[in-house]
Amino acid sequence: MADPQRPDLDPASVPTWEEVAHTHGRFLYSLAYRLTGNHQDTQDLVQEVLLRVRRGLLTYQPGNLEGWLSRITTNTFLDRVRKQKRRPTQALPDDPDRVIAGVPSLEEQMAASDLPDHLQQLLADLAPDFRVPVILKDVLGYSYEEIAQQLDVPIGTVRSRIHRGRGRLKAALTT
Amino acid sequence: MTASDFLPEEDWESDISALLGGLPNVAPPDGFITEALDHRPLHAGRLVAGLGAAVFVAFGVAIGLGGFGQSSVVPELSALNAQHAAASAGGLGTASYDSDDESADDAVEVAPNLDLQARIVREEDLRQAVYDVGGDQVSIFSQPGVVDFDELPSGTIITIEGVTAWEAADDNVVVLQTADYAVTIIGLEPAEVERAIADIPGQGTAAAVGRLVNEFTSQLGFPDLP
Repeated sequence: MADPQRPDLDPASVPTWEEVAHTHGRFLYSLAYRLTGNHQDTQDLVQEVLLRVRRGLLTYQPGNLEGWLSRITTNTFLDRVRKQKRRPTQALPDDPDRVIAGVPSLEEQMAASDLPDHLQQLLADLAPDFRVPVILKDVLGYSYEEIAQQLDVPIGTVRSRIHRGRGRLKAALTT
Repeated sequence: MTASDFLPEEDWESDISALLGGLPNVAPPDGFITEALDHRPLHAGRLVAGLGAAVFVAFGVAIGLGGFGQSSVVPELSALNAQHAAASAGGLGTASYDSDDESADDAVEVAPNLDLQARIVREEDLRQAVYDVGGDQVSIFSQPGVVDFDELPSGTIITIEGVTAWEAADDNVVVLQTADYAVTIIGLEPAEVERAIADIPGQGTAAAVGRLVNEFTSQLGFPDLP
């Protein structure tokens, strides 16, 4: 799958820490930003991820480097969420089919010039358990199976969380 | 792709997916990656400075004070965890648990210029410093001897800045071997420990450690280096 947010990778070799940072730093930063929603937390997260990467490279087996980096990033993010007990997430409406009359359609929303920022804010308002799989699926394009492996949860749980996460986003966009 | 990826999604789900898929890349600020590689703290500010100081003290004391022999040590993690929990529950600056060492309360103020609070409790050879770092409480225990890593519970042996360490599988517990001391750090994620150590200026040089130890030992209640 060609995706501009996913860098080209050489699965046959083990890169150095510096190579990972320079080659995949943009990927890590972009993913971290989608997870955290702000640059300060993103930079803290990426720093921590890079340290874990450096340690992990000692035992890394050549393979899906991108998936490995993504797993480290999401796990580090979730660890930080659990540890820091960040600001309470704002509960969004739980009914994905609820549409209020007279509000812009999704197509109209898509055309809005400030949609990326707005969408990012809505992502940030999602509970992390929904936010992470939605980002992995819809922003990065991973399969349900890959996400289940990364997050170490059943695939049914992944599907459910993504469905509910999307539903909350839809409800928020149409209110 | 798996079979479950081909299960039909409702139209609105495809719309949301398309919206998210269209989000642009977010580039890091110029120089950020290079700075991150250099371990320079960016925004962590008090946290990194505090952790650096805390671990610096632990390293300095551990490395600077020798002479306890090389007996094998297996930190009693459950007991240390309980001691950490007891200290954390009581908060800093209050008598939260008993210690026969009356001098412990005299050693509370450690490195006040670094915005840290700490309590040192000495029970026989075991020393505990409890730090309040950004609202989180962190205990650093030191005890003389050589860590028997083989006897520690399931975990991972790692190397942090040339120092052998063990990290717990689930809890935020790191055990380090420094010179003649076993150092157990409870309350920090291993990556934070690593970052703190990496941020220590001059760490690894005996002279720098010696200067640091001499700077702090009077407040810690430990003897100065010879």
